[in-house]
Amino acid sequence: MTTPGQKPARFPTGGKRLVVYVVYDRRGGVEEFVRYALQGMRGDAAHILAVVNGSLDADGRRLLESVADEVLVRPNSGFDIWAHKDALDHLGDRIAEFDEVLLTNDTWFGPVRPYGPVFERMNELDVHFWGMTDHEWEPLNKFTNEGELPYHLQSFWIAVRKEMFLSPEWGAYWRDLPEMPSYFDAVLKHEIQFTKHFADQGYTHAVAFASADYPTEHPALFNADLLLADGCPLIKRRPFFHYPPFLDRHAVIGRRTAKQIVDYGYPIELMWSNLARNVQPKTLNTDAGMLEVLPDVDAAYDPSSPFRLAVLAHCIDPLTIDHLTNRLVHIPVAFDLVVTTPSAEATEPIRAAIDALDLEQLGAFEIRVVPSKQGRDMSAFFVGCRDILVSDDYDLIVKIHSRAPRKRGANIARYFRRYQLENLISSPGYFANLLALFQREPGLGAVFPPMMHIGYALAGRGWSHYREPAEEMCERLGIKVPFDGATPLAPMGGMWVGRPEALRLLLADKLDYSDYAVPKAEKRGGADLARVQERMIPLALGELGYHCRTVLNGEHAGIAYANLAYKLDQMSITPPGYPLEQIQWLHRAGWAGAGGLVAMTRMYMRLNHPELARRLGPVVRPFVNAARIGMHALRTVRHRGRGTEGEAQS
Amino acid sequence: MSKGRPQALSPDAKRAVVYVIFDRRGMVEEYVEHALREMRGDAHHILAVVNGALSEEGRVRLEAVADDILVRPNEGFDIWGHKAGIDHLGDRIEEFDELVLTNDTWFGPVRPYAPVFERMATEELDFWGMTDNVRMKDPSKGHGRVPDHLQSFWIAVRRRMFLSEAWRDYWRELPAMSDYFDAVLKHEVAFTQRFEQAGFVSAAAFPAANYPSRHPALFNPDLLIADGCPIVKRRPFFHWPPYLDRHAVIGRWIAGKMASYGYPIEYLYANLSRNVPPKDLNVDLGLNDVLSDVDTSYDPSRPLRIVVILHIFYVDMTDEMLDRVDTLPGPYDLVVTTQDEERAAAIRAIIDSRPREGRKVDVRVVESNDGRDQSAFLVGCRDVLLEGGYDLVVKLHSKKTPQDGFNVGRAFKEQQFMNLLSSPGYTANVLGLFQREKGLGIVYPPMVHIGYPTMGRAWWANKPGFEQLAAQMGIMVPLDDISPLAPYGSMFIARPDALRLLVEWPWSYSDFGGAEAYRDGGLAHILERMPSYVAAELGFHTRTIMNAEYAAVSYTILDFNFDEMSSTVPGRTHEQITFLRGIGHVGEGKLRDFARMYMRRNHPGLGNRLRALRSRVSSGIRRRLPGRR
Repeated sequence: MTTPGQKPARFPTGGKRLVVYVVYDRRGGVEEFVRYALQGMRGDAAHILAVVNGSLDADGRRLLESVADEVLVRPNSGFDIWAHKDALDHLGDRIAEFDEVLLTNDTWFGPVRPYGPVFERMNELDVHFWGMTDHEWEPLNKFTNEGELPYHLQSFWIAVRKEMFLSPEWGAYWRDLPEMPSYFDAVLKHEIQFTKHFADQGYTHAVAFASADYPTEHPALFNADLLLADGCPLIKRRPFFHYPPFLDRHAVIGRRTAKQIVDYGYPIELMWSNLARNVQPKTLNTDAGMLEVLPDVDAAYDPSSPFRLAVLAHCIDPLTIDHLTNRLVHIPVAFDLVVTTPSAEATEPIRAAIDALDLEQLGAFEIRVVPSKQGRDMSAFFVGCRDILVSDDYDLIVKIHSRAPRKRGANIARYFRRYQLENLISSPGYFANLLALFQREPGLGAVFPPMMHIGYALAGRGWSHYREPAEEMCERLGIKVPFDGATPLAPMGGMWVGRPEALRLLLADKLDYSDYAVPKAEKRGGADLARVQERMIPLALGELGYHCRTVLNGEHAGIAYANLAYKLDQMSITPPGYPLEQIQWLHRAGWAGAGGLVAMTRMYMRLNHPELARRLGPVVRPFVNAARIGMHALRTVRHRGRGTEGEAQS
Repeated sequence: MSKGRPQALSPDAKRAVVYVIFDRRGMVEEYVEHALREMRGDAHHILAVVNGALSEEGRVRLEAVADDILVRPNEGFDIWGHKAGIDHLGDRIEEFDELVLTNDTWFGPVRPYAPVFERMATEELDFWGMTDNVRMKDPSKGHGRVPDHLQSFWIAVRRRMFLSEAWRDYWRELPAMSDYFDAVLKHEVAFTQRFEQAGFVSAAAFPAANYPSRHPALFNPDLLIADGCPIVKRRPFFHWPPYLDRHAVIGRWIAGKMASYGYPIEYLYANLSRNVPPKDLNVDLGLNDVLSDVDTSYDPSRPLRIVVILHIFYVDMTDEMLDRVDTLPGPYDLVVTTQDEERAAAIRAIIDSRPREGRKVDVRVVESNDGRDQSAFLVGCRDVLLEGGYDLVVKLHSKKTPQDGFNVGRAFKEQQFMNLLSSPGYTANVLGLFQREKGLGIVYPPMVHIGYPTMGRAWWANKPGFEQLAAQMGIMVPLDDISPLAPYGSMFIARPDALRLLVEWPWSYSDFGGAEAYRDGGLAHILERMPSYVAAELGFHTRTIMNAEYAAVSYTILDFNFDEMSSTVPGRTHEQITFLRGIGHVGEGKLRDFARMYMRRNHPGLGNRLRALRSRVSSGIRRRLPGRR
């Protein structure tokens, strides 16, 4: 046995390393990226103990057992750090067989670069413990806004040598480990304390990639690309799920990093699959920049591995069939076509229009009369074409329709159609590039254009009253992908290209046309199933590990970008600071109502006296409501004659 | 009241046209010449009425296409211009069978005039308009309706009406018109109703009833021209972008349609560039392009003479910059500016190690580092830009922006380099834009926003200084209100011709006055914002360009931020903007700030009146105090 304060030592040649790896999976499974992380480590680990926080299903156990020597399942309490503690308890005296214990977890993807060189480099150092990355000392603790933030090794990867883990201080640390009910406890009571705690008692430490060598205090979040370039074997998951305006503020560009990860040979599909299952789809889309502006000349399609492709098109009014035929002529590969329509009379003109195209690439062609208009294109797809979607006859489905919003006017209807249809099929070259996305990524579940914002007011309220029914559906279908905030990433025009197998969960929900009946307004605000389903697509795909990408052609990207940037510029004049701060300001202030006295007072209170506002809320609400109605009535009388900017015309 | 019956026109009927021009510069633009020249065959007499000034050059141009020119003070808008024109014609009006009152608020002919004249000639009418406006809100109040009416930009009147007493009375009693709403309410809206009530019969050549909106000239110009309407109003290209956005009026598609009918679209670009705030135009015309890395547009048989001007402070970036520059197809000349001989020697050595076919190299040590890349370009390379005979200049500099942090600085640099010279295919496509559009003056990436708080305030403190300098330089292009359209980062590809006003200005290094000029509001930041305005003054337009990689990253962030920003304010985007702009700056969000915001939103103008009152009172008191004068 060692004595306390024994001198630090290098990792001995032929020494034995124990790896404790903590898994937390809300679904009780184990993902492939975990297997990959552990498999790559086998050569450097004499013993791998996988600790599962929560539950572990049979498949997960099989997977873990294929790469770990031992699996310990424990209740999900106390976060990774209590799992480490339980693992150490579980090992007991066996720990003395090892020369180094590596405490790590599943919060990173790797190995992106090989582990070996890092172990070899760190093996040479005479230290008591070392970490992969660190966080610099800061004068102010940003988590508590009190006191300093001590220098610390990040807890996701800490290796401890025998000289330390056999010491009484080590035993005492774990014996006295406080309870950690919240994530912040884990950070405040362990992560930021651990290094200092042992350093203060004379234990020496090192770090494989020192923040001092990087341009920020927290390179694992802000400089993942530089770490990888320097040989760091892993990348934290956080740069791909953190709040996008925060990453925007710090110019952390996930798309750039993802490309680098691919270039180093990491099987990125493991990363996409994990993120798709566990990150809000729109957040992921933004963090990783998952929009593809595709050119109209084919630059990527591999004709030697074609897809079995079907176009499922819904057409209510045969007079609108040309919107579809104008697209079908651009499909440069073989495809089958099913046109659904609720009207038997429409079949002849539709057939005539399709026949007239004399499409060279068209294989089987069928017109289906669906028995109901309820649910429009979505019921025609999920109910009327269910047999096709579950048949395993097709690799990819193009889902389009010729419907346009009826009440929004001709311009918006046209823009809607052009935006939705052209961004899926704008030219043969474009469509080939779109197919190539699916060739490149077997985990790509669907592509569709981004949220429309021209002529539409979806921004800030895309979920609207569809959120609750969507939550119910997720509950029913066992979908655990987290929901986006204001607006979901979704094919809200009801058009996309995707893999039918990725829709398995939605297809398992055996629905009938009657389920698509639009409920009365008082019930869920009249949220109809068709619109709920549109918003469910990325969630249902994500649950199975499929991710989505958004697509635009150059023409639409040019237009939509200019308008979007302009509107955001104009909206940004009022709140102060970076977009992150502007958003936080607006959100703290809350719903602005009509900007009258009541709303302004409420905003002021929320911004300046949030605690008081929260406590007073229930008490004053009836008075506020009365005041609001009163003020509204007053304003209606007084404000007659004030127009909205831009309404004047000549 | 009217006598007789409305008449159709005989094939040999004679038509007079009164066309009112308002040009702040006293110019006559190409689109005006074109509109009138093409009308010659259908008009026996064209009287051009100029509101305001007419330059000598303008007069020469106008004389070639008009029979008579009347220059009058710019008062009472187009309508008083028409009145002056009618008065000027006097009794000669009796020689004609139809009088067309029109103006320069439209582009045309996009489709030929003749078929419309011929069709309307067969109808028994007293007056007709090209288009009408129905169910229109009262623009002065924002609610209530005004009577349906023919739009005043094109009204044709037949003899029975223009020889009537009602006609004479109307013009004699025409009220003074001090603002735009007067022109709309006292004339445009009133005219149709008044003459209809007097028994005259009217029609619109393209009535709104046939179109899916109440105001097809604004909302459906593409449908109008598809039906043969010869003209497109300028308004769809200069109206407030969020309003057009709300109605999905896509100017880029309208312009594309116009070009497809053979309209010389460069006239439209030139006129709009001179007279619309550049960022508004960028959006209204969709002058923003995501270019592909596959060359689909460059014509190597029409090469452009290109000079690349690099300002290199960080010598270690030389290779990276030359890698970018070498994506140019074909030969180019290279001018490098740097601040000392030591750097110059190192740069020469790097350039020499990278031979390139047909490249002339000139490495210059600038006399002063004041003004950095700006002065090196404007002073140090004035000869190259004015006398070099180049079609295009590529301006880059060795940008690191270390003060903003590594990520932010790198993202900014890449945003500049990647979106200007991303790959050989991309760069070829950029040059293809210049080959396609002679009026394209300058291209650069859209406003940087990743890692920067530019949204909503990119003028920063530079607007007053900009206004002053622009006035001195004679630039009359309207300024954007929130953020200017500008090459933030000062890198661009431009025609030297388009930058002429800026380059000809007698700059010297001392103007850049040391480090002070680099402060917000200093000359360097003012000049950074100038190129598009300078180009626009000469009729050159700007395009913002980006590659697919940047578009992906930037768009997704804008989309996310936009969504988050939109979630707490009611209404559609244009209403949200009006609301947020109405409450104005929030300061620190304290009680005082909220009181101000509340007042601005709900009682606009009251604060000013109170402040004026307070200063009147306090200065009154002060004046009465002894010894204070």
